[in-house]
Amino acid sequence: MKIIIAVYIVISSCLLTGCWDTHLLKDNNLVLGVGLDATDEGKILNTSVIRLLSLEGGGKSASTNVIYNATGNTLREIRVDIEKQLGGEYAANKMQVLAIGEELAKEDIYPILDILYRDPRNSLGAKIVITKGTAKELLQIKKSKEVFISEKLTKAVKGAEENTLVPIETLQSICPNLFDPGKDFALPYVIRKDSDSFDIVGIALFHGEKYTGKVLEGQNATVLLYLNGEKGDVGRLVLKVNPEEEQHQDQYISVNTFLKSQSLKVNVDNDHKITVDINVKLNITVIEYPKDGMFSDGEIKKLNKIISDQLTENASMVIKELQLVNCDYFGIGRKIMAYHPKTWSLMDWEETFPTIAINAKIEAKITGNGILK
Amino acid sequence: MNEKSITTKQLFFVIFQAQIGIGLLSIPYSVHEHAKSDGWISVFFAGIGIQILIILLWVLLWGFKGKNFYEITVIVFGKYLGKCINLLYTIYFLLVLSLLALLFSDLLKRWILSYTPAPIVVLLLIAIGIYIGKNNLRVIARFYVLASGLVILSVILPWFSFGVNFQWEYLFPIGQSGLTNIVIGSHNAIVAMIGFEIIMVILPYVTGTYKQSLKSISMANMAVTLFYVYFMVSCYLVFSPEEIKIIPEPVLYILKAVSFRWVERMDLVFLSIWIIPMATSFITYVYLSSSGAANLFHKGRRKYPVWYLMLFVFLAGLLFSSESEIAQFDKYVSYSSYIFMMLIPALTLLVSMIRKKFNYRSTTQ
Repeated sequence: MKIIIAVYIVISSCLLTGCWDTHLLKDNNLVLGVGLDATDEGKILNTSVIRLLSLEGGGKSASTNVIYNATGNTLREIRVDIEKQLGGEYAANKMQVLAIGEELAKEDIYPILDILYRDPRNSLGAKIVITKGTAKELLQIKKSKEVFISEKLTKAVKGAEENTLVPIETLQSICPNLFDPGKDFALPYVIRKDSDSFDIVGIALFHGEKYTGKVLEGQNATVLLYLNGEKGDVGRLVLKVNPEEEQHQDQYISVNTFLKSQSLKVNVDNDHKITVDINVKLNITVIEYPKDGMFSDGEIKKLNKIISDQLTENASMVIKELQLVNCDYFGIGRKIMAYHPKTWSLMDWEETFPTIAINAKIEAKITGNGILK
Repeated sequence: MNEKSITTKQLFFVIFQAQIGIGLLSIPYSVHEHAKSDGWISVFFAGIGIQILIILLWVLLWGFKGKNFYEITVIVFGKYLGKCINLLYTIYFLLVLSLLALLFSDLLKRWILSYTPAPIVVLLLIAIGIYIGKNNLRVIARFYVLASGLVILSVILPWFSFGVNFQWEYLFPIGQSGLTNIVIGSHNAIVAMIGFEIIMVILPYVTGTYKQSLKSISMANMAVTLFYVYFMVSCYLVFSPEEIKIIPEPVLYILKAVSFRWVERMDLVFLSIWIIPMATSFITYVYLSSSGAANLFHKGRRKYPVWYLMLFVFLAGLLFSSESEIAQFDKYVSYSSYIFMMLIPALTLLVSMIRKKFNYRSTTQ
């Protein structure tokens, strides 16, 4: 019996070491950020930000980022090409951010994402951004204000998510929408400002698997997210509420917004005519109001009304933009499919969506004004 | 046969572990082919179907108290025909065993061990199968009870992925694919839920009355059905219907995108947990096939058959290499399971009643 156990232990210790599938860190080149662009011949230009660790004396290690460019017909071809130059494995499993150039995004984006979904080693939590111009330009910043570009970009996207400027999306979370005919999505839109900084200006609207070319900036982006019931920790808006004031700063109010409730109702009448009602209620706290004078209920109510009207107007403008580029961001198509299957089978959603009536109403209510009246 | 008894509580966990296995990982995908987003209704139908099969098997065993299926066939059909049927069953269980090993190695190869040769992965599973499967029933049952904790805990894992994408609308309209498609879909669900046939062999060794045993088995089947429905619905809420068509293991895939500050790739955590129920299903069939062979050739002693049957499984593991071959093999085995789970037991019951061997008043001794 003892011999059997001994043999068993020896055999299993040979088998259980996982010799075939070990991935040692020293053989891996961690890819932290990837940028993809279209080239003229329909090929893909890949820009990879790769972290290299080099050992120094005394057990210390220093890390540097290097950037590799390669062109190829498919992403796998590019990876093989870069691996030849690197002399190690191209490990994209720790990728934090994927930047896609405008021109490439305007084509079908699924073919370039397939490799990421198919490879079992990939983590699908990476952020995706669309860049103005090329992604190569953005990643070649290399270090933005002393921080590696891939880290900086990821942090900036997360910050924008918290401020309800961009939707919370990852590689995986857009996948259901890529295939869904009844819902579209949007991604953060980044522009390079100068040699070492960039800015997340808003969200790029998609239709199906393609970027529509339309970007909603700043306040419009926040309004769209609220209309869809999405929220970060807080929303930050600056509104022009007193255009008659002489002092320029006095014309404005800065508020923090918090989503209280959102409802989206899809009504279909007997003629299969679709109307959508969106109601959003926001709580806002005033964080800057140089004009002062929120002394009475009347004054606050007046402000409430001005802000609500402005945001509602904003909302209808945003919806008009959505319908113009046929981006069903609210997933109205999916709702019709689910609750009015007959209507869905009768119509062509591509053609119907721009024509349906979407009424949005935003109600804002001041609930706090800091430590000043 | 010399076998140690188990309690009805242990019986519950044995059935639970035997039914749950590798099938869960791909069931939302395989059922979706026919039933679309109504797949979870198919699983309910499958649960009811399996309950009927369980009652059929139970009635048969109830008429021959203290005897297992291998002994009943000999009583009903006589020595030669009975032994032939037992041999067929042993071969069937052996084929299921090989299929499980193949699916296991194929899954692990695709998800984690892409460079490891498949026979090595099969060998690992076989090692577990021999190590636990050669013990008596009580030891196996105790292991199943112990292993159930983690499986039940895994229920919380899909919650993490709800933050990624979550749409109630994907489930509606309920009943969109029609009754026929839902019923066809439930075939795929039944295939993922077999394993309950272990009662054919172990029911006589359960302490307590046959009625108490039936209650335990039915409860286990119900728990398994709800467990499957839960995972199905989770997947259908996270993936859009168009997307699920290209994802063969949705239950793993929903965890792939989940990431925390301290841990990423929850799918690998889940897969590691899930190796246990995959192994218990395997052990179940090790027990079934080896007791068949033991009954035929070794006067009921399972010591030797466990070893040589495993050799067969290993060789079968070398035969198949491509996924489509495995899928083909899977198809044959799953259709033949209806013959062995339904047709032959029903026939045995019928013949035993005609030949007046069936006697539900008999006592255990």
